[in-house]
Amino acid sequence: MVGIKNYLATVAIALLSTFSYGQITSGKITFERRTNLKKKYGEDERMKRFLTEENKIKKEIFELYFDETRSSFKVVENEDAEKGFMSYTTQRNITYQDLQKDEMVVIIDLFGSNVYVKDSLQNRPWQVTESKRKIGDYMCRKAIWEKNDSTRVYAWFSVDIVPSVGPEGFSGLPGAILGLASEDGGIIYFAKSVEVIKLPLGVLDYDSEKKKFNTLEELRITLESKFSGKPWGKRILEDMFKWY
Amino acid sequence: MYIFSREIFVVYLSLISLSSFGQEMKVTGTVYDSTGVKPVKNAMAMAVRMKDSLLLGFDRTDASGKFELSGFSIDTFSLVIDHPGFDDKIYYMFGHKENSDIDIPAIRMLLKSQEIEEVIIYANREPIFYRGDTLVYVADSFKVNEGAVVEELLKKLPGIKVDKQGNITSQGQEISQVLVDGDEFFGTDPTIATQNLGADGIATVEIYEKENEDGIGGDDEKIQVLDLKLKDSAKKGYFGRISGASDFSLTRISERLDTDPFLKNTFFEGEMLFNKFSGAQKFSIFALGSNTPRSSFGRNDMNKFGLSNEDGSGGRFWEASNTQNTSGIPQTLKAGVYFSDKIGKNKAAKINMNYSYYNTELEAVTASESQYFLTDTTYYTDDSNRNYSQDQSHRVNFSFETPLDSLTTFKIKPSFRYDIGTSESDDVSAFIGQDAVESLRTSIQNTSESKGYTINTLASIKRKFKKKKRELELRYDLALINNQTDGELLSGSRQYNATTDTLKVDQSKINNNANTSHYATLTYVEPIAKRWKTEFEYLFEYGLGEQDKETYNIDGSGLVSQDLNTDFSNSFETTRQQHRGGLKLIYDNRKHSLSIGAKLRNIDIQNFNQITESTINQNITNVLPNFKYQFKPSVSKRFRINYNTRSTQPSITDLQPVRDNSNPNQVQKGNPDLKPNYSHNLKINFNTWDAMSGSYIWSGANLTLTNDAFASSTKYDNLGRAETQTINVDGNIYAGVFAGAGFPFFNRVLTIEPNVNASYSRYSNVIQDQENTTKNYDLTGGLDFDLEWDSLEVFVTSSFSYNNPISSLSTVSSTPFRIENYSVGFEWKLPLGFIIGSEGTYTKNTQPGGGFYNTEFFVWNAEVSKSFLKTDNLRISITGNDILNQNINARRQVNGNIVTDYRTSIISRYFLLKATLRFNNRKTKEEDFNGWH
Repeated sequence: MVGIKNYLATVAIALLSTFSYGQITSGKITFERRTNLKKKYGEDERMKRFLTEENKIKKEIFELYFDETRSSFKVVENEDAEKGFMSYTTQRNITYQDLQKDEMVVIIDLFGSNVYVKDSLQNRPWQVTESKRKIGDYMCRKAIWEKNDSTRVYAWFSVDIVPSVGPEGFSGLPGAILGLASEDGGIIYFAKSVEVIKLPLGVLDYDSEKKKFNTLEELRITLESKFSGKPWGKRILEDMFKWY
Repeated sequence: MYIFSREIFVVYLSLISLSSFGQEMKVTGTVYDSTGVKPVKNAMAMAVRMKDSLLLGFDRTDASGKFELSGFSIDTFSLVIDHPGFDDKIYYMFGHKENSDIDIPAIRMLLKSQEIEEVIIYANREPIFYRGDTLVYVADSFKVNEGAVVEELLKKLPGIKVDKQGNITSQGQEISQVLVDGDEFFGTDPTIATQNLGADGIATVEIYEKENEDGIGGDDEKIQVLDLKLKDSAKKGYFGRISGASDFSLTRISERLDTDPFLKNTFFEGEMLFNKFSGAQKFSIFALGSNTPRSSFGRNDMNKFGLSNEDGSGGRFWEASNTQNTSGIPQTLKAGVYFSDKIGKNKAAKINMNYSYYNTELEAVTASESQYFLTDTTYYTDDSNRNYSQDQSHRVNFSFETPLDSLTTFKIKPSFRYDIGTSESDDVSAFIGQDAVESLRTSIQNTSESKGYTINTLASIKRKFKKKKRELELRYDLALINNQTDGELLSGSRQYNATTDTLKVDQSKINNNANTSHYATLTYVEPIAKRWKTEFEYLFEYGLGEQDKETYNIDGSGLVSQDLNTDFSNSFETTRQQHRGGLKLIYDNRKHSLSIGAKLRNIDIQNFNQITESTINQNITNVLPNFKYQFKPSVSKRFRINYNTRSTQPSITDLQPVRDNSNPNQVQKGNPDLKPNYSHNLKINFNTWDAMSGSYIWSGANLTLTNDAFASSTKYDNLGRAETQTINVDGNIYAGVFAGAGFPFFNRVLTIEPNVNASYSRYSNVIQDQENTTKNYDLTGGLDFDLEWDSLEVFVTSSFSYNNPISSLSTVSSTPFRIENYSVGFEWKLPLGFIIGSEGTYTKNTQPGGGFYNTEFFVWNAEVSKSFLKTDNLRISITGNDILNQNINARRQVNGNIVTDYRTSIISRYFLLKATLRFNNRKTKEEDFNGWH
């Protein structure tokens, strides 16, 4: 008799979970970004002096708000987490996506001043693999983007979250990206929570007033000419365009 | 989760993508929930290219469950349907020009809890798919000629191969059983279904693994089954054939002693078969008579005519061996009827019965040369032997299986057999010493008449319980053999020494053999965790064997003496009691299965000699451990390790201590001290297969170590006459490795199949009280080519084998030998119903030192046939067998220090004119050419 009860309970749970598994089309995903500064600054003698085993992993929190067609991705400022130079060790872009218009806006912080980029969504050739893992409650499939011969980016996306959104303007997968990592593990975005909430008013809108928008390519050319010859220029450019 | 190895796919795919350049794919579908009615919204559908996993496109289903993927070029890709509420569904799409716009009208998602993994392949308009572990082909999507039979359909299915004999392999693994709607179809011969049922009557072809039901008490070997699911319209019908063939006395049959001039001079074959089926009810009647080599009545024929349950209860009992020398000149008549049906409520009870009659005659003339290597001398014997036997057999089999309630099944399977036989043998032997001088000449004549009956019965009750996986089986087996032989031995020998002695032994013999064994088995399976279960087995055996031998001398005037010749007479009784308990722990999940256990066994054997009133008692206790592991990473890949231990009991003939002088030159003597043997067996297997390319690899290793093995101990007298006794020896070894593969090319037109096989064996016997160990090294390699177009099939096979036996007692018998075999053949279907086919096999046996065995011959067969009637069902053919008249039967046997070369007269060249009429209720074409019979 106990066996039957258990069995019924299992069936009930299975049924409930089917219904409660309603797919998510809008909400907020909170990401933690972990940057391994030792990997990032590897051979830089000046940085080596400041980096210890304790502070080599830099953690930052980002929020991705999304509905069926749009998303915004920005950092959650943390007052006491970092002081001095440490705040400059990572790049914090704000990204808006519009899947319907095929449009992406990136606000790049360039030494304290904002640079605006407006471009179409990046069309990345994704390889979808057989491997799966769970992030939180969400079963994710692993996909790989080969940026170039030496750089590969891993993304774990969940079919359960319908819009094709992701951190740093990543898109193009059949579901939201809940995990994103460079191949060497130097930078990892990992979803800490997925909340189905009513979106704060205007959270998906960017301020388009009187801004000069560049395309990614335009900005790259401008910055390359500006920074050419500067020893740190190359790295800043790499940092800025890491995901494109 | 992906089923097929990707490397092989790349090859296949590049062929396709070349031909399909410049077109785009479109895949549409509608996704429903597990009820199959309610559309699922927002289910994800994505196309992932097979060769590099590139995401080609994705879509979400709309409110009506529809999705559309398009805008990418024709390719081979997997289509994944994913929704969090359901299990994933995967389709394999093999796009090409004719298959670029695919619509899957209803995709029914399965609940996650159902644990059935379904994978579907769209290589044609309709899919191949996996339902759990079952591979399903939808028959209509494979185009076959009008009126084609199932075999032709099977040949079109990716991953399935049908050879010239009609044997089927799937994924490189043999199909052991062909079922129709889950049941046997007129016996276990697969060709009865595949060559007689129409392809258009098949709904789906399903392939899955099944427990081998013949096993008892946890013998859980699995077999591969091909199940043909019939369309409703095809569940009724009849089919059959009538055929006759003759050579019109154009070929002389050599050595035939028959006096009937027709039989003596004419080759003939005749066959009649009629089958009728209606749902589960099947009826069949057949008769077959012939005197060509085809009449050697093999297991195949037995299966073909639905006599498979003549095997008694699974063939696990020792049965008087009636192996015949089929290399002689045979004449056979067989006939029978068969009926099976499902009866009762829900047609749940199965009933099956048949009667058959066999009458076989065999005439064999054998010449042999033996060389005996003793430590001090070598001598030779020259033997010529003529054997004639006639056997008649009546067999009745019955089986009944019914569920008693929803959880309990009852089964009973009695079979009865009555045999009458006569045999005559004449043997002349000459013994020649090292000096090439004949020292002894013997002539032996044996005649006997025998009759006897055999009863085998199995009764079992199987019960399942509400608790999943809990099972109980109670089984009783009876094996009873009783036969009586009256014989006469007339023998004479002449010794050539200083005084030429002549010795005559003339005897009359009456032998009575009876053996009864009862077995009771209880098997209980109890699940102990989700994936773990234990199996408990207990077996009790009670056996009684009796052997009475009465021998009377016959005097010179032919009068039989009234006094028993006690030297050759005996009354011997064996009582066996066996208790065997076993425990097994079993783990099972989708990929891994493991079982480990042991059996503890006690056998008590009482051998009672009624003449001397002496008893020999043996009491033996063994532990028999077993271990099995299987890893199945995907449906088409399998790795297996199987270790078990076995112990076989000696036969009563080996036990009874009186000498058997039916061949006075080779007297057999029993050994009442003989113990059961004990062997360790280890098997390792690996198989892999790729459905679309059709390539496969199989490989494995076997190791057997036997202690207390049955071996012969032989003593020779000064003339070379032998007396042999069976004894136990330790340390017999067989070790072998084997591997093979099939690689199709050019869209499966060409298949290349290499294989290799190496083995080492070590066997001991005793000669003149000295242990002789023979080690044999064998290496065999083969390479086959098959070319298959629509109307033409060409094959080339080759094999080469090298053997090196090394005997410890004598280096002379340790000579390596080689066997080479090459054959080439074709079958060509021409217009106007003509078929021509031919096949040639060249055999070369190389052996230093000559002998019969050092030989080469080429056997060439050819056939021309033409079909008539609108349905092509009447076929007239001319067949030439061994047109060059070269076929011989030669074999070499190395037994310790004896090397014997045999040569048996067999039928070689003959021609037949044959007419075959096939008929069926569909009034369509029946399969009419099935290779060389």
